[in-house]
Amino acid sequence: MGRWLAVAFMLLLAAPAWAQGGRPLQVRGIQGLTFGTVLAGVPWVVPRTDVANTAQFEIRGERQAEVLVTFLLPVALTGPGTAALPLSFGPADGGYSPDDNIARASPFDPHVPNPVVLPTNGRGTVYLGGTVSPPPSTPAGAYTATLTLTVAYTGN
Amino acid sequence: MRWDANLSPRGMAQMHTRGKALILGLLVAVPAALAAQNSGTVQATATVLTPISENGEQDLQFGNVFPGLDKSVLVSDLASAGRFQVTGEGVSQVALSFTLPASLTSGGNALPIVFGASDAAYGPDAGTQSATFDPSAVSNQNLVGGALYVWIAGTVQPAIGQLAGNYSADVTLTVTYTGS
Repeated sequence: MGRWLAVAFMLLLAAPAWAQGGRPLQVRGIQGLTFGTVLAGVPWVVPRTDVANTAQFEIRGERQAEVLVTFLLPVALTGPGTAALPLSFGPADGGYSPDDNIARASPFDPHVPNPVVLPTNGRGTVYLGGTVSPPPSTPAGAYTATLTLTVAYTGN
Repeated sequence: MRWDANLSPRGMAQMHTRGKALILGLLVAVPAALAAQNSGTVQATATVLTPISENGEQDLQFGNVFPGLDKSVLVSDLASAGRFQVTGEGVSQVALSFTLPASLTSGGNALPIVFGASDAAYGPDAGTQSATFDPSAVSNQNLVGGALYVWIAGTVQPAIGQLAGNYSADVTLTVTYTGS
């Protein structure tokens, strides 16, 4: 018995994450949401379809499995001192493509968890655009925020 | 699982099998729970440029005006034309928009004022005018080294019966980044 317990614990420590028949569920950020140079008093939009500046995440998991994608969205970027640059997302600022084609990505509301189906190769891409709205008095400087995407199998 | 010092060899085998099943069950259940969800992050970034500011440096001064005689101040008259200083980011383009009065007032008396198509000008410094423009329309111009100077001139049209007095009015310049 003791020998079996020891083997079990060793396997638990060494095994990768497996689910849904054996393929691990992974998500990684590929590209940040880049607004670039923004002028105080002038709102700036990065469309979801802007391949160079939109945020992009790659999902890898079980072939043709349904996963729920959920964003954790900040309301502002933070800059010098306590300066804040308001950040907002529209109802079509999220997008999902099963074939890494941003132009054909299906839009979705990034405020709401969205189910998507992974393709036959188990890889999908999630995109995120957004808008910054700097008041005229926004201090000059660099501003940043963290965007988090969580994915989970739905079991469907 | 209860240990019994007198358990038979068959009993021991059964307990061994049940133990393995329990362990295998844990091996299946725990990793599945760990793999059900995952997260990734990226950064959102932006660089905000210097806010625009504008400052009225010099009034538009007509001086003494005689009833019945129009008097103009040319925009090239650097000493008498109204002047604004605009500051902002680098060579960013800005939109220049005037709010122009229809008259100067002294108490309840009005002195009409008009602005021509060349009664505004812009330039890189307080002593240099690059070009004139129509102050009744928005003009987009680029800052030079983060600054731009703007002038305003005009013509007052006193009536023959214009009452004596000191007349004045506000001329407002609004400046905004165009994003270009």
